[in-house]
Amino acid sequence: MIMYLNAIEEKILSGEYGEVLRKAMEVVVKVGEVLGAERLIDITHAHISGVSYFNIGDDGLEFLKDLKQRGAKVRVYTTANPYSLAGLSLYKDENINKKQIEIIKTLIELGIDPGSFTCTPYEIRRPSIGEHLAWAESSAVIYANSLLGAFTNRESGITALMSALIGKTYDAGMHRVENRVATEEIHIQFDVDSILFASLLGLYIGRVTKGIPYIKARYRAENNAMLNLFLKNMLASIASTSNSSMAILDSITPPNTFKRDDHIEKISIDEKELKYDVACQSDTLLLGCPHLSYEEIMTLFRSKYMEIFKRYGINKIVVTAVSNIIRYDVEIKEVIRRIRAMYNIDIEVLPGACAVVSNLKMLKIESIYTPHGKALHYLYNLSGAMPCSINV
Amino acid sequence: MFNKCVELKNVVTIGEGRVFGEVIKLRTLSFLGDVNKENGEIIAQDLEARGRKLGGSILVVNRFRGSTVGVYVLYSLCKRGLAPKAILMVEPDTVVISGIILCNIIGVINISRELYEIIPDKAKIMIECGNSLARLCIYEGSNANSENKAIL
Repeated sequence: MIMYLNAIEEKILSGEYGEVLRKAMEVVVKVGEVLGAERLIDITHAHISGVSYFNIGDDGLEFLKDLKQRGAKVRVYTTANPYSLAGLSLYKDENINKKQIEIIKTLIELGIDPGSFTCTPYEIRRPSIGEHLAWAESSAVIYANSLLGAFTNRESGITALMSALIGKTYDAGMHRVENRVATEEIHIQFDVDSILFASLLGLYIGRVTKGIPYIKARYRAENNAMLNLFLKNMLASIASTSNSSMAILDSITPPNTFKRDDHIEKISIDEKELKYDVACQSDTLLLGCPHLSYEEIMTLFRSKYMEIFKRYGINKIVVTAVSNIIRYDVEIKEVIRRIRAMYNIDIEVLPGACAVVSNLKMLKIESIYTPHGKALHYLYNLSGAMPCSINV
Repeated sequence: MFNKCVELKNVVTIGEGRVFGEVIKLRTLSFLGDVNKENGEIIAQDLEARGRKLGGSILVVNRFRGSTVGVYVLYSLCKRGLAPKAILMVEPDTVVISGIILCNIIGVINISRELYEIIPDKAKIMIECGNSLARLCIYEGSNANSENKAIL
């Protein structure tokens, strides 16, 4: 498939606007051609992944520095994923801290919003229904398509960055309503009432779906923040065990952003089918994968949950969160102080950082509790720490 | 001695040329998390190919999964000569497709599910792409290193 390009796009591709834009255009056009796109479309917001030094290494850092040296600048509003704990200089090895900080600096120089660094970019700038985006970060992509009614493919960290440089993406895949069609209908036979079970359910759905699951479930949440936690953890978990960039949530996904075919396979999922493994123990709990918002933190920082954490023997909680929670610094510090006094639990809130993409073994963390499916899926292979599930 | 060559129809190819290698056949894979980025070894606990190394192989995957950072891992493996020589996939995956483009390796997208089923794991195969043609030859036995034998 050869794509139709307008005059300016042709000029960019021929190198008239410099080598950086030529390469960016080449990558986006090539991926688009492979996926059958006939044209490019404008985007309003790009979100890039590939920020942790532990994941992208020296080759990734060099790739970003080379772009910057050649004068690359994003053309549309662009946010970035969280950095590893090395961005907070938590490692003894100064070289690791230095390299992580260099990645952050380079991205800011490329024009990325310095107040972003989150896997939940929709908490920084919420896209409207029908907006076209070029987002990487599988959990954010599936959230944008399924809950916000925005249109984005599951871009790679590099194609999202190339799209940011030219302000465009290819018109294929999830950008076209005719491709947003449910592949099977999934009936959940139990009430989804915890982050852990929303997560286990999502990990399971990711393994069985052929593409876009239509999910019928009852969610029993105490407030909107908790409901959002259930949904975002279920979606992030689906995106961990599959390449699905969308799920259609019955009565939730905005109408007219998907199509439905009644003659599709129907699958029932019972609570017993979900693996619930508490094989390990830890004194530390990780919350915030995906990142927590202020409302979500305040919901989880209540006595009801602290009593559960205490029963598991937890005395330290690491919370990774959206950067903009620093607006509520005073309120959060006050709650943390109260929890320490009442439950003897220390809480550390780390805005902009991600523990899952950090080497936790080097920080002497051998195992860690978490209710988040995405963390349960990735923690061991990425961080070296054994994840223990906790029913919250 | 090869026993079967097939022309790949209705596929989209990336890159041109001819490569030989041993098949690593997987139902799924994420380059981030399922692969040791230092040496290209498969480390996913739920994959049978755990312990095998991607370097020099022909990777055949039904459906990729997971992280969008996988592109950086593939890119880095390529730079250090530890990447597969070619990647074949049933379902198109944007993350891996962009990695194939940046790496300048051969990619064959949208292979049929039937073909995926019949390609034997660990078989020696040849992939040839170019001039709007894509061909795959499966070899009998393991002694398939000679390039001459592939050209009939």
